[in-house]
Amino acid sequence: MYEEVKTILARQLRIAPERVTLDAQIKRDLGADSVDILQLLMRLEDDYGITIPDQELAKFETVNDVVTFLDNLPK
Amino acid sequence: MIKIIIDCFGGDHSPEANVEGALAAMTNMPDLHFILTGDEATLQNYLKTKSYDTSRLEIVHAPEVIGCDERPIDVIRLKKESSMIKAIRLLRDRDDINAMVSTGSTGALVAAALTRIGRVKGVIRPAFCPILPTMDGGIVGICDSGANVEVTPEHLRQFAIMSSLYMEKVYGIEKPRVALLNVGKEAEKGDEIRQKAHFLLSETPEIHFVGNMESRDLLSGNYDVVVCDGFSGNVLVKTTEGTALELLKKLKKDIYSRPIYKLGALLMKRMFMEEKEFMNYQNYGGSVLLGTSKTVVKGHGSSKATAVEKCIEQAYKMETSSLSAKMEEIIMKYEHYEY
Repeated sequence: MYEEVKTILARQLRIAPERVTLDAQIKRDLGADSVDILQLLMRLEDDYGITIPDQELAKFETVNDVVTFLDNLPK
Repeated sequence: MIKIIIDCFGGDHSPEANVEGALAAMTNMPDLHFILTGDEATLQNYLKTKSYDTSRLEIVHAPEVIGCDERPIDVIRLKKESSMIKAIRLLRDRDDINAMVSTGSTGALVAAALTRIGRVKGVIRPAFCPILPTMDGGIVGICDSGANVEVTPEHLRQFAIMSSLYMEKVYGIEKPRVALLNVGKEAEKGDEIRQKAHFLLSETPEIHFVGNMESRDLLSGNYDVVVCDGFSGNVLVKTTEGTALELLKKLKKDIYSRPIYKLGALLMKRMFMEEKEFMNYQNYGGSVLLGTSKTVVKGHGSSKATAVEKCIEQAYKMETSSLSAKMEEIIMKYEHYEY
């Protein structure tokens, strides 16, 4: 899952994949702004066929938060 | 043939103004075809009293309505059967549809367009570019006016390239004069973003960059397009519109305050009417979202049929101007990824 999230974030934010470490803060370290977050959200919802609740979205600070959320989705 | 999809259930005067605007454009531009989205029964009921070429107009049923207090993110996720979201999805999915016009919620339209429609290759952020009349009888574009609150210097350079091409290809302005909105004219004015943007714009020979512009000079006629972040651009446009409207109101109130003023105003009535028409935003169409892979035009929420028709004209010109190809060609010269 980490590799998938890394690829999505690197492409969307136009940054080197090596920068997308698990502990990287999506906004502070990777430079994402509100439009990037919206696009990430829609991309994840489309790809995984889910709706991410607001309270979960608010918890997405690091790359690891996103990976953990996706890992915990019902199979 | 150009096919334009009209979101008919957004705006103060919808669906009547949207349908009337489409019918008027259909009369004036013979190669235009339309798809109207919205409540089918309501649209059919309205259209049955009208005379038009039925082979050039299709209705797609979209029963849901977007409320003005709904969050854009909820609209794009939950209102999939609304006239706006259905129009956006059809625009994305159908190759035969060239462009979309909407007078609905700006926030929802931006969110939907940014996430559902692709971008011209190399474009990082699409941006709005509305047009205002200038005091010398010309026009000025403001890019961005609200799609991107947060920007980088590279975003501003792309806005400059896109809007300069737009003014040239759609409005026929040769070598548009591009300015950067700032708090002073000198290159070192403003914050780091503005200073870096000034440098980047100076190093972009494809545009005619004339330096920084202070907001008070917007309508001077000295500039053809002004580049700024979406927050500042939105404030700039609304402040300008609001000042003009309030001045007109005060003028009217003052004229009625004394009989001698009324007499003077009577003699100048024609001039007042001309000025009012000159400042009437209904005559200037809507705000094009530059940089999306398909054309999206956002009309003012209070657009009447004339304004909707103008929006359709803008969409038509965008589609027949080869704007996207040229935009891609220039933007890709400056495109760089970290990897």
